[in-house]
This record gives sequence, structure tokens and C-alpha cells, in this order.
Amino acid sequence: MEKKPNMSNVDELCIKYVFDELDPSEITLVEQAMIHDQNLLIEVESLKSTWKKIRNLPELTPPSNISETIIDQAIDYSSQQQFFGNSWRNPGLLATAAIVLFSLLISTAYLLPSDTINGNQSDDSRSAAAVGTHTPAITKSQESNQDMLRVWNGHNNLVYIGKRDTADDASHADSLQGRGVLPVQSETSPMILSPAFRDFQLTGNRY
Amino acid sequence: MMSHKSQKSLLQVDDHELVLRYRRNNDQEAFRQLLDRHQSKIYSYIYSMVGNSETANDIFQETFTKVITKMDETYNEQGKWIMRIAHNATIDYLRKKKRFVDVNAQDDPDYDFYDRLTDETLDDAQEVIEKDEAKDSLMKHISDLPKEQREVVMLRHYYEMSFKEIAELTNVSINTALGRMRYALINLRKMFDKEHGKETKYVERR
Repeated sequence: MEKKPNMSNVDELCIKYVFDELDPSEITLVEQAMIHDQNLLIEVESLKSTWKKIRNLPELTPPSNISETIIDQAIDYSSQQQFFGNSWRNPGLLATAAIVLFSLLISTAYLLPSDTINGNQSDDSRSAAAVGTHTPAITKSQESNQDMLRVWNGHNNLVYIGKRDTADDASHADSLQGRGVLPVQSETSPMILSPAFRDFQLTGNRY
Repeated sequence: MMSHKSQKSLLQVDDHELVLRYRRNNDQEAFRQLLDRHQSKIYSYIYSMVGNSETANDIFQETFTKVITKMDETYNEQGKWIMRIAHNATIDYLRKKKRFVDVNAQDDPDYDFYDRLTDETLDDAQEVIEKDEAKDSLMKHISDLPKEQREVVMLRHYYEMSFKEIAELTNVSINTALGRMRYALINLRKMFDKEHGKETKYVERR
């Protein structure tokens, strides 16, 4: 009589047998075991038939709008990647971008008003502070709103100061007007910030 | 417009090539093919695990968002990479759901794994199911399986994953994965027998 095969991990081997994941020697082992143990044969057949039923499960289709959203997302992402990804991979394009960026920075430095470059303590602020020894209204105005104060040089080489006040603060404008245009002279040597900008202080006395 | 010839050729292209075509050449048709190829299996798996179409839609979209944005990092030559992403997203959801029980969002007591098939868009499929009571009961019974057992069954059914792959994906040993499948099949068998008024006879082997 044939010897009954020894299978210590019979449960695992049975499942592997059902799912056809055994190597040939193991298949032989399980089949021999089934010959000797009818209960094992019944169990394996039962597992097989149950799995066969599961194989009839249909597939579900996701809602079409979800699939379309995903496609749109893929198109958007791919476009971004094409632009940015390729840009970074292309040394020529990268160099061009760097030159453009550098040029923009330089031209911005030339074109921006000096008060933007120098921050809050601008030329206006400093010149006004010097004049402000005689015109305190300007200083006060600056504290309240610097954007309302404009200083510029006219064609007749006079420095003009323009001020726009709010309705409830018109006294400052009146005060400025009363003091009129002041004759000013440079108090400090001009500091060259760029070919287009000079930083210097003005001072002057009332007529 | 895509020619019939190129569509046919895309059908024969493997996932890896589709990914390359999409990533390198901005080939939208390649991505569409990738989606068409996997969407039903992925969606079925997610839906079978979460049992809610709204959540399944969210996880499905999240899965493909990751596929799009992390294609380079997540693509796996071994295949089943999209299922891996879907599985992880599903498990993340189930863990969060377990951690934060929302009293207002109770599970639908009438939840049926394949309720989704009753949608108008799936009339044909619904007709098929109505004709096949056995299939209908199978669907109900599968949704009654414990999550771990359902997971193994679905990964095997929809993605033909080997038990080694299932074990790796679910972070368990191969024997645990095999055991879960075995219990899933035994439980389903019990459910069928109960449904048909049969008394299940358990075979004592040892």
C-alpha cells in the first residue's frame, strides 16, 4: 500500500493548489494526499467551486464624469510638466530665462522711483525733514501718509513740493502753501546710487 | 483624432510604455488607455472595500491623481502599481474611518456591495444580475465578509495577484494571506448553504 504523504501545512497547500500556485512536486504531494484522505478531497473541491462562483463577479465602471475629470487633470499636469520640466532640462532656455530675469532686475532698479528703492527713509523724507525745520506741517504730513507728499524738480530748476491732504486735514496743505516755495541748497554731497538716481539733502530758509 | 491603427497599437502597449509615452511625449491617448485599462478593476476593488459610491469616487480620483503626479516614483516594473496606490488609499481611508467614528455618518444598514449596479447607467448589468440570483447572493455575501478576507478575495479576483504579492501589499505573511483566503471561501460556502437551507457539514480532517 502507498504511504500517506506527510503535509504539515495542509491548509496552505490546499489553497495554493486551488489557485494553482504550487510547483509540480507539491501538486503531486497534494494529489496523493487527496487520494488517501477523502475529506481533504471534498474540502479542496468545495474551495474550488466557491472560488469559481466568485470569478463571476462583474466589474463596476466609475461614473463617467469622474473619469473625465481625471483625464482633464492629466492634460493639465502634463502641460505644466512640459513647460516647466522641459524648461529646466534645456540649458539654452534656462540661460535665456536667467538673462531676462537679470535684465528685468536691472531695469527695475533704473526705472523705479528712488523712494521705492530706498524704502521709507526716502529722498523725499530726508529733504523734507531738512525743510521741515521750517515747515513742521510737512513732517507731520509724512508721518500720517508719505504717499501724499511729492517732491520734484521743475524746468526752472525749482524744487516743487506737492501735497494732497484729506478733507479733515486741509490745514497741513494751507500751512505748506503759506510757507510757499523755499529756496533750497544742497546740504550734502550727492551720493550716486545709480546713473539715474542721486541721494542728497536740501535745506533752505524762508523769504 | 486618434486613428484606429494607433488605438489598436495602444491596446498592445504595456503599462510601462504607456507611462513613458504620457510622461515624455505628453501623449494623452496613452494616459487614456492606461485609465481605460485599470479603471473598472480599481473602482470595483475600492467600492467593494468602502461600500459607498461617494467615498469610492473620492478614493478613485485620489488614486489617479497620485498616478498622474507621482508616476515616476510609484511606477513599479512588477505591475499592479496602480492597484497598490488604490489599496493604500483605501486602507488609509478605512483606518481614518475606524479612528474617527462619525456618529452622523453611519454605514448604510442596507449596504450591498453591488448596490452600485442599480444605477441607471448600469441597467444592462442590473438586468444580468436580476437574471442570476446566485450571482446576486454572491455579491451580498462578499460584502458580509470581514474586511481582511474581502481584501484578499478582491485583490486576487480583480488583479490576479499572487499570494506573495497580496502578502506584501497587505503587510502580512504569505501563510496569513492564504489563511484569509481559505476562511473567506469557507465563510462564503457557509453563507450559500445557509441561504439554500442546507446544513453545512464541516469536514474534520485531523
